[in-house]
Amino acid sequence: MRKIWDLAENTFRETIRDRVLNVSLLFALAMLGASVLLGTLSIGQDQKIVRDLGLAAIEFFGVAIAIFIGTSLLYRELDQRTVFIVLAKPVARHSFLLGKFCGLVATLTVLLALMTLAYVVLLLALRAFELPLLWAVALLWVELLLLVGLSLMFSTFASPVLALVYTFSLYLTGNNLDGLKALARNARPLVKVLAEGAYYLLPNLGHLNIKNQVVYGAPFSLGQWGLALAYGGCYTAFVLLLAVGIFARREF
Amino acid sequence: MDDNALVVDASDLTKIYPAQIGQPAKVGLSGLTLQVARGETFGLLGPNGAGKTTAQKLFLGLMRPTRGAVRIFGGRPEDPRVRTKIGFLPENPYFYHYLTGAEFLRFCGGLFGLPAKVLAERSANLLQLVGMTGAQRVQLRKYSKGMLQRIGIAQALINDPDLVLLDEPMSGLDPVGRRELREIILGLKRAGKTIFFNSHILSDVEDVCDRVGILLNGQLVALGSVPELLAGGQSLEDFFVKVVSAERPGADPRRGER
Repeated sequence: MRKIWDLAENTFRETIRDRVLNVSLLFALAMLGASVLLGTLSIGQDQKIVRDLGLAAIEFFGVAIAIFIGTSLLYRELDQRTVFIVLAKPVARHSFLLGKFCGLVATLTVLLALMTLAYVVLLLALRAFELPLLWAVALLWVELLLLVGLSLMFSTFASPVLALVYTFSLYLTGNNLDGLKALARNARPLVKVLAEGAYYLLPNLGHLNIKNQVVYGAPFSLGQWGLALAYGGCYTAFVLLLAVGIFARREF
Repeated sequence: MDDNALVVDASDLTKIYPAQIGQPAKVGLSGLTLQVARGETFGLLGPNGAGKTTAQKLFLGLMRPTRGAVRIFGGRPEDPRVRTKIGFLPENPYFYHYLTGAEFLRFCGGLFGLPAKVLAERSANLLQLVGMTGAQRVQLRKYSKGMLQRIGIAQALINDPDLVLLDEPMSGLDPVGRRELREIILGLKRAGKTIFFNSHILSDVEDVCDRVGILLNGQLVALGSVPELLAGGQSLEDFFVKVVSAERPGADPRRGER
């Protein structure tokens, strides 16, 4: 466990000291402020739009940073051959990968916390804050975990560009799986089987997206929230297991 | 040789890199059978692409052999416990450039599970040994090639290893640095450590090694103690050129090769 901790700490340091990341965070906070203020200009200064735009900005930056850093993290280790230094020491391959995962998750948690804090402060100032918004942020955090897992898994065997394309494609597909299921309903049998297979196998990120419910007050329960949390956690664990399995077979 | 005294025991160690699009399969190492005893200093020589780095990667479990096996301290190198006794310096090392020298050593020591007190003491001693005490708070991105090599040597010794694997340890060092490194290696030798290094600087190998092997196209073509190989008063360079030329007529290994 200590090795995973040390590797996570090192990855956290690596990512948090990354100048590109720091600039991105500043940009994200500026965009967050701008999108919330833009919402106040909408007709009737609808508080729902203010909440919605803020959450969308947090999601956009969180997802972008998770995928961009997640897909380059392993590549950097291989390209700069730092992986030799670490794996020549008594570090099991799975510890290495889990350390990388935990370190990046720690960085994303800090970023998400900072963005959420800025969001909450802005909403409180505009008297538009509602507690369930934080539930949506919590599920977004789980979604980021899953995306980091997917990025790492793809980068155990693919180049950073391909890993980025694969992860981003899954992000887009995963958010629109309900549409796929609806399409399958009237499709030919073979297409139906394939579409339904994809629906159940691919990560259904729609489960982790409750923005509409919390912003527009659609029906939503804590039980549903808990199930979504468990689904995201289990899927992330599955993806990490896959990543560990592939990485253990890799040669350097 | 007593098996218990064997630190490296390779038998028929072979690595064939599979064919890739546009590239045929390539022999990295072919049937390497080699034993290195405890306390021995062994130098592996050979031109570029001869298989020296491949051999060290197989000793560390970074690669799996296509055929044959290697035992390090009697165990498989894939077992992390075996690697607790190994220190390794890769060729042209790049380290985490966002860390300072001291942070990097602390990170490396942590991976061996060293207690904080031991780690602090050992880091300070090693920084002094490699002459980097003054630069310990500087980020590695600002280090020169020679400084990176020195900090690389310090990290390779952080666990007080019984076996030290050095891949081209002299590269990047100026003459003073090379002399200092030679002194460090001789100090390790006096402390009873087993040292296995790849080098293309023949005079350094000649000075510090008990035994030398020459690899060519993945095959071990010469093996013996330095006095045995240099019988007749020839230098190691002459011997190396003779062996390589005999195996590969027309090649001059002194021209830009190791």
